[in-house]
Amino acid sequence: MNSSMFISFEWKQMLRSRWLQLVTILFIFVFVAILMIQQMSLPESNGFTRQTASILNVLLFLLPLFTLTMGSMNVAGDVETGWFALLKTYPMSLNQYIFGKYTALCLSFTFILACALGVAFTFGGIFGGVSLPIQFIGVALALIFIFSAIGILIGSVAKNRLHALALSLVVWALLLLLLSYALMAIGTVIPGHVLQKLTILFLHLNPVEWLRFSYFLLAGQATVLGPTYFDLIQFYESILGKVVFALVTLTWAVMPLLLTKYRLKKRGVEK
Amino acid sequence: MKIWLGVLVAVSSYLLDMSLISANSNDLQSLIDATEEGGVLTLQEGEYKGNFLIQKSMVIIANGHVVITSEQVNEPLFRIEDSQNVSLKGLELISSGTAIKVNRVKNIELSNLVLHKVFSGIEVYDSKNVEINHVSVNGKGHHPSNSGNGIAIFTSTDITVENSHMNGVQDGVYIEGVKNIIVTGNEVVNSRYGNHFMYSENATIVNNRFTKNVTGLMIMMANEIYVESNDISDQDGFNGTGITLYDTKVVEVQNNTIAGNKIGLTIQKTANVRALSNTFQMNQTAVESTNSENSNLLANNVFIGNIVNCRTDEIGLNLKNNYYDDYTGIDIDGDGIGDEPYVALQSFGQWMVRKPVYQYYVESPSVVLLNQLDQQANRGSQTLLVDQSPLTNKNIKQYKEWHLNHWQLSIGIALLVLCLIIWRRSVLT
Repeated sequence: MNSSMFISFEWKQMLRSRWLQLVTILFIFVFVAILMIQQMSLPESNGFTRQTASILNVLLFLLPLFTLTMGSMNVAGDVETGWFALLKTYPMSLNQYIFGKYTALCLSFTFILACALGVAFTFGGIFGGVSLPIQFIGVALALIFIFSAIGILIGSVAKNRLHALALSLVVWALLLLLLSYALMAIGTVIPGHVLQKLTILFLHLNPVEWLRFSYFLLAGQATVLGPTYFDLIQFYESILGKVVFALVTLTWAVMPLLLTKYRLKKRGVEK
Repeated sequence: MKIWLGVLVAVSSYLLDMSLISANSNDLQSLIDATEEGGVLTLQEGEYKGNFLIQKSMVIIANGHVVITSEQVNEPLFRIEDSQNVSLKGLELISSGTAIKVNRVKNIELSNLVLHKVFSGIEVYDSKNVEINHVSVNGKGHHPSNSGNGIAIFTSTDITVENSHMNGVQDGVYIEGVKNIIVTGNEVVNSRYGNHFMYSENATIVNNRFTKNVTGLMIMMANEIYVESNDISDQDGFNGTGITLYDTKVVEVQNNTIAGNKIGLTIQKTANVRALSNTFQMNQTAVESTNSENSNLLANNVFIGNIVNCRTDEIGLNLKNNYYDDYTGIDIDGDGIGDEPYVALQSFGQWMVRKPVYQYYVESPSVVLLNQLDQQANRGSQTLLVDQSPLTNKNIKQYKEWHLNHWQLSIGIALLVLCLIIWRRSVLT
C-alpha cells in the first residue's frame, strides 16, 4: 500500500465515521449561529470587538477539541483493534503511516471548515453578507494542522480509545483553560513584570495561546494585548520576528509528529 | 508655425504672470503696512512669500486662490500682535514652522484657511473674542510627538473653534488656561489628542468627530465642561482612549457615540461627572474609573458589544437606568426596567485595572468562561458596579439589511456543492 492509497483509504474511513459527521453538524451549527447573531446585532468594525472575539473563541474551543479527540482515538483504535498489526504486514513505513493519518485528519477537518464556510456564506448571502476576515481562516487551518499532530501524538501515548479520549480532554482543558487560570492566579501574588515574562514564555509553550497571539499579529490588532507587550509585538513585526514566528508555528506542527514516531518506535510497533 | 507661435505666446504670458506675482510677493508686508487702520486688503490670486507682521485693525481677504509660503522657518508666517478687529480669510498658508501666531489681540477672526505641512497651525496667546472657523490644518506627516498642535489657545477668553479639520498634528485643539470656549463641528484624525483641555473653565464641546487619535478628548484639571453629541471612535492604539477625564470637576458627557476605542471613557481623580444618554459601542472597555469620588453618575447610557462594560478600583461609579446588551434579567411587569439588578463587576476587569499585564488575556477562552461564572457569583454584589434599575427595552438597531449578496451567495453555494460531491464520492463509492 503506497502513501496516496493509504491517505485516500483513511480519508474515506474518516468521512464515513458517524463521529465526524456529528462533529461536522455541531461545528457548522455553532459557527454559523454565532457568526450570524453577532453580525446582525453589531455594526462592522475593523477592531477587536466582542464579535471577533466570539468567532475566534468558537474556533479555539471547538477545533482543538474535535481534532484532539478524533486524532487520538483514531490512532489508539488502530493499535487497540489490531488494525495497526495488520498494516504492519503491508510494505509501509512508520513515516508513511503517521503522515497518512495526519494528512487524512487534516483533510477531514479542512472539509468540515469548508462546509461551515459554505453554509456561512450561503446564509450570509441571503441576509446581506457576512464579514469573515481571512485571518480567521488562516488561524482555523493552523489550528487543524497543529492539533491534528498533537492528537496523533496523544493517540500514540494512549493505551486504548477510552484512554485517548480522556487524555485528549485533559490536554484540551489544560491548554485552553487551566494553564491560563494558573498563570492568572499566580499573577495575583507576583509582580506584574514577572507575570509578563511568564505570560510571554507560556504564550510560546501553549499552542492555543500561540495561535490566539498569531491572530492578533496577522490581523494587525496586537495593540489589543496592551502596552505591556509592546516590545514583544515590535519583535514579531520585524523581519527576524516573522522568521521566528514561522519557525515556532512549524515546530508546533512537526514536533508532535516526530514524537509520535519516537513513541510508536518505543512501543515496538514499527514494522 | 502657428503651433510654435501659440506656445511662445503661452510661455510669455506665464512668465509675465510669474513676474507680477513675484512683484506682489515682495510687496505684501508693504501692502499690510499701507492698509489704513480698519481697512480691507484684498489679495489677488497668486503666490506670496515671506513672514508678515500685523499690528493694526484690518481684514486680509483672498480674491481667488492665494498661497502664502513662509521664508523663515523659525518665525511664524503671520504674527498678529497688540491689536483688535483683525480678520484673515480664504488664504492657503505653507510653513514648516508655525503658520499663525496671535498675541494680545481682541476680536480676531481666522476663517476659511488651509494650512499645509505646518509644524503648528495657529497659536493664540492672551487674547479675547477669538473666532476660528473652517480652518484645515495638515501636519507634516511626522509622528504626533514630533509635531506641534493644530490650534493652540493659551490664557484667553471667549473662544470659538468651529467646523475645522485637523490631521496629523500633536493635539487637534489644545486649550490651556482658557475661559468660555466653544468647540463645535470639528474633525481631528491621526493625531495625539483630538481636543486637549488644561486648566480651563466653562467649555462646550459639541458635534465634533475625533477618530484614530491616541485619545479623542483629553480633559485635565479643568472645570465645568459640557461634552455633547460628539462621535469619538476608533482610538484603538496601545493606549487608545475615547475620553479621558483627569482631576476634573463638574463634567457633563451627553448623547455622544463612543465606539471602537480601547477604553471608551476613563475617569481618573475626578468628581461630579454625569455621563448621560451616551452610546458605548464595541469598545474593549467602555468605562474605567480610578481614584475617583462617589459622585460620578452613568445614567441612561447604552452599552452594546463592549468586551468589558465597566471597571473600577473603588466604588466611584454610580450606574442607573443604563441598557446593557449582556443583561440576562427579565421584566415581568413590563415597565422597561429589569426586575433584578445588573452587576457589571467582573473579576477579570478588576484585575486589569490593578495590573495592566492581565490585558493579554482579554476575552481569551479562559476569561470568557470566568466571566460566565462571575455573572453567577457576583449577583450578590450590592455595592460595586451595580445598576439597580437596568433598562430592558431599548430599541436596538438591526445592522444587517435583508438583501441578497449575490457574490457571497454564489461562493457559499459553490462551496457546499463541492463539499457534497466530495462527500458522496468518498462515502458512497
